[in-house]
Amino acid sequence: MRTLFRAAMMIAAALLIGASVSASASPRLAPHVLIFSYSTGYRHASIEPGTAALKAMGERDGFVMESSEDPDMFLPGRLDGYDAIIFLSSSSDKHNPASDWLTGLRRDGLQAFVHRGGGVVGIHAASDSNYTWMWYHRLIGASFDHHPPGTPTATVTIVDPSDPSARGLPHTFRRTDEWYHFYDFNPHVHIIAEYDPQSYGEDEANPHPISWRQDFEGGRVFYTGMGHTTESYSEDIFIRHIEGGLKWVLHRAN
Amino acid sequence: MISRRRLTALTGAGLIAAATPAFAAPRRQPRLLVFTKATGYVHPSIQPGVEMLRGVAQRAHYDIEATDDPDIFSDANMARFDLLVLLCCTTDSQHPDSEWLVGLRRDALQAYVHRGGPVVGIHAAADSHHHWPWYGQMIGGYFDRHPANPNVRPGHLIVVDRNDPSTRALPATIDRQDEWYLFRDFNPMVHLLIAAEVTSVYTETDPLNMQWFSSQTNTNTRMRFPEANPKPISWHHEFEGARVFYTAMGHTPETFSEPLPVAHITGGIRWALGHNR
Repeated sequence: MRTLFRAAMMIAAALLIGASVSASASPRLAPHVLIFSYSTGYRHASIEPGTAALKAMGERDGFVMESSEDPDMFLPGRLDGYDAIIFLSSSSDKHNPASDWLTGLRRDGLQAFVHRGGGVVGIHAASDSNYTWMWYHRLIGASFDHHPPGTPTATVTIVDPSDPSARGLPHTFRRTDEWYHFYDFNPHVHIIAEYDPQSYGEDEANPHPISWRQDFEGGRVFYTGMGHTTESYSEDIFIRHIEGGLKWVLHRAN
Repeated sequence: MISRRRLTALTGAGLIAAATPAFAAPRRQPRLLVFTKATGYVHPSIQPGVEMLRGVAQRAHYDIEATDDPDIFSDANMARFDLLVLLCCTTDSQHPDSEWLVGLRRDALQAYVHRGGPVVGIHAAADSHHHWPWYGQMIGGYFDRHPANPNVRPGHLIVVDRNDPSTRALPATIDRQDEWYLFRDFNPMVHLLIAAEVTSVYTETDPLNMQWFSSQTNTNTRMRFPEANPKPISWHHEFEGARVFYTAMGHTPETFSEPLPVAHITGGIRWALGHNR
């Protein structure tokens, strides 16, 4: 009886190990992901439902998902256990430089995290943050400039269907969101998706970037300007997009 | 849509390469149109630019005409040309009625582009027709602003694609003085050729980089903060059947006697003509 139990346990353990090995490239623990949503600027109502949806998303993939709104998480050493950070609409106030929260030693902590290969996912107002720190805007790849009023429905086009964040997504789709216009956009980033401002009647000539990725100083960065609305976080397309981006920054997209 | 000329170039390239010059059908040399009308800022670099392009044409055996008469944009006139250079041909962004591509002239330019007619835009060609989105699509973006006081300052340029006809003669980096444009409504899908390091355009502590700017199109003034990322300076793209090459260089008259910008523009013309050497 005991032998049988032991055998069953061993089989179960082997299955578990097998499952975790196939889900993760390294024999290390499952990836630890920090969802960070502290905001001193505009506070998005989508943060709470977004945090819940992103946790559920990551846990389905076997990741350990944690969330925080404590900017001291960026003090040196505090990020040691994490493999990726998701900046979820973690805004500061553009008109009040004192609202920037990546200051002092917190900057060192984030830089050390990126330089050791940590992954960064930026969502929506992650680009509307810490305007006084140029390095942060190189990390994200652009800065929020302005958006048209409300949440119009725009046509989004996937320009790199082979990107992990684009897998399973239609080539073009229409969705409702707050559409960011950027300044200081880095033309070297790898663009994944663009949107057409003319599709909701805005008088702009060219398609605008909305999702991109880049290798940056040792780490990987995925950013999407989408994700203003609460509804975004129950949309299959949007969640798949973020999931693929997260896997890519974690080097776990195959 | 592929033009007959482009098709000939594609299918005949092998034949022509193998054939003696006598075998090739007598083809007239490419004819360039340089257009310089400026109803916005009038650049002192226009005349030196025209002279430079005449030199390029002479060396490469192109025919060339320069005009600032917008009536050149008719179907009959444009049929004579194989390449259009838009040289600092500004309009006033605040005054839509300063735009000279109107009515049938628009149709003529569009018909030219749609038959595969290539376009080379230089400097303030992007500071033009802010109220005709098709024009901004053709160029790939609109001039937004440039640093001021001084507007002409040193820039550190990175050649992003060194294997292009417009860049093959260039070193990996270029340091030169110009007026450095920042763009709005920039098409991120254009093929980037040259970028400027932002720290050469603005320094991190440059007060000019921390001031309030008003946008060209939006009436609301908004806070600008230090720019962190590289800026596009030269690019090309295929647009509605035509090749378009653009460089933001060319504010200063000296540009057009400097070997590197001249080599860049010369190669850009070659690329636009489909000569991929």
